[in-house]
Amino acid sequence: MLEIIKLQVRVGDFEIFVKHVKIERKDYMIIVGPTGAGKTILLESIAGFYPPIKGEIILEGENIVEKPPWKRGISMVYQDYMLFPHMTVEKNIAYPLKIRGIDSDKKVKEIAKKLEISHLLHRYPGALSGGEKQRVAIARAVITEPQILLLDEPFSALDPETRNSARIFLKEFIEEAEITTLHVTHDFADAWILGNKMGVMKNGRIVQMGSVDEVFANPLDDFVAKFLGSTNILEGVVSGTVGAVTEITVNGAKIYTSDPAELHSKVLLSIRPEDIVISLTPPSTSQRNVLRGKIEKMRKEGHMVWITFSKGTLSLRVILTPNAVESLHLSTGKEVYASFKATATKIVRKV
Amino acid sequence: MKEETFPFLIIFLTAYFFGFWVFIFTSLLLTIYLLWKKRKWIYMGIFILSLLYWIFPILGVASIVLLLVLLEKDNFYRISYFLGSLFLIFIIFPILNLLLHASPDVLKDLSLLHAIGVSFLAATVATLIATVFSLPLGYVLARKDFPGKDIVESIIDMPIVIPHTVAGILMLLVFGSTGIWGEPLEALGIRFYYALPGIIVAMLFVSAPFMINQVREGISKVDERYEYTAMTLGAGRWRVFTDIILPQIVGNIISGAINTWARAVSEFGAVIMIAFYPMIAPTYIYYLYTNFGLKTALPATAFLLLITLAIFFGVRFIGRRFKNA
Repeated sequence: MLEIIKLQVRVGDFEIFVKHVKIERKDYMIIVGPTGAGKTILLESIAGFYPPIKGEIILEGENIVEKPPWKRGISMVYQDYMLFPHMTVEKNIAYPLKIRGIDSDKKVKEIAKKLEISHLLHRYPGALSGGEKQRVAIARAVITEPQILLLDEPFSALDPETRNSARIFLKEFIEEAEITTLHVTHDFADAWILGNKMGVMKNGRIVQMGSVDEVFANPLDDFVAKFLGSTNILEGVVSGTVGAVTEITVNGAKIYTSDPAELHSKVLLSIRPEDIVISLTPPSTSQRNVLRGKIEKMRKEGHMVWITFSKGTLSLRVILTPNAVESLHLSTGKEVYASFKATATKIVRKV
Repeated sequence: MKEETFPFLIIFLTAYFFGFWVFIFTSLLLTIYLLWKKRKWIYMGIFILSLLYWIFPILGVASIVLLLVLLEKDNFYRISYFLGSLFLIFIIFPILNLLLHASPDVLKDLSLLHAIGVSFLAATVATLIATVFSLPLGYVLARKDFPGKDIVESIIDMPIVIPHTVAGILMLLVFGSTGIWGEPLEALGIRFYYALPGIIVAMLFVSAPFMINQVREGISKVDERYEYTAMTLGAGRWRVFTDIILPQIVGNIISGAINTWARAVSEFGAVIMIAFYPMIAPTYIYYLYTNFGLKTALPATAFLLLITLAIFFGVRFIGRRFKNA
């Protein structure tokens, strides 16, 4: 268990102050915050690189503030992974064991197998893809079974396609290995998919703390509120699969996604407002999802128009340009079609 | 594709300065090669024009110009090649010219061999000392910010601009037999004045900046987060330095050592101020020249040049292999 009490750290002109954070064993805590919120400094303070002005960091009942980083039993993975370029993958992973004088051969092989990087052991980090580097970094960080694993934006260096599968992979690995994790990110999808607890950080302070569902249901901070307001989050049940497409029933309507999911499981879907097309007649394009409904609300905001589209109890937020609104003669109550691709519909979390 | 124009021009121009026969022979070889490669009779002109050297040496230049005109179409490159090769000749020709005076007889000159031995030993020790002390200094400079950092960095570069004889006197004042450090050290049995340690400190003073700057640059290029990461993995400060920093700056240490050694072994002015004896190789050459004249000094000079160049190219080659590995 890790507990942070009234921790104050100053790095240059920047200061973070954390009143109280508690991470139970096997928790996966995500701290979300915009760039410059002090998330990396928070992790680095926990790891022990900056001496705090005051406060306590209590790990398994012991205040570790005075301990040097190498005696804390806390591993940290930076966003660009920091694999030692002069060592092979194998030597990188074995390094923490080598320091402790532990025979590493068997353990390295074991963890490499779990993380599916056995075939990379003899390569140098320069010859790895982003996703491979990430797995090597995680292997190296957890091989000594640290009390807590700190992850600094672990997916930001990956391209969007590998990011999603890397998230699922990491989630499964960490759940199975039962590693207590503190993960900072500016990407809400990390919180949806990975976290069970969540904090929101801004200007060096933690402004909200709770379970992921609590924070998303009742956002105190406008950073979270803005994110939630800007994307459509729908809860549904998987009702079938058609080829490579999954059918999900949401409030009686059928929505198709290209993400796989187990039949009859409950899922959360996200659809970005800009991915939805509004038309007066059924679209002739290959959009998989076509819903007939009416315009519930219209609101002009800056140069864009926000529209609330509804079909029965299902409602979607859509963003359009004023030109589009004008050429379609849209008005409140008008019957329209809303369409979007199956690939634009993402399963963000299994409920 | 690699173009041969520039190296041909350098070779041809160098040959020109070695007199008629060397020039004619070179032009013959070049002409045959170009005739075979390009299959155009116009290249015969290079050899024919080179024969004009016989009438009057300056006329031989016409064949060099023809080579340039035939092989390169772009006027800007023609001029750049010509002026560029002239400047290279300024370095190459005097060196080759001196090497003509090399003779195996100098191997019988034991004083010369001894002087070369002293030179290499002192330069090597100076380089080792510079390396050892550059690591902590380079680390502090790369990692910490402090008031007056600019000044400290300027201090490190100062020995480069101080005239060598002045540097020698600086060393003499503190390390000499009555110097503030020299006197107590001499009481302990370490003598600098007219002794090997004096040569080493003089060399160290003028050459250390090269090592310090290389090490500092190398360390500042190693992301500090490698160190942090290694620490979270359980490595203490010293281990981080030996396991993570050192292997990543080997290239910098090697090139720093080459530059430092080269600078140290070529030092003369600072060394003679504190220790004319034991003679280092440059001192011995100076001694031969001032006491017995140029002619006596030439073979020893040529030998010293040859051996210095051999070491220079050898170390450079090894260093490059190491960097690539």
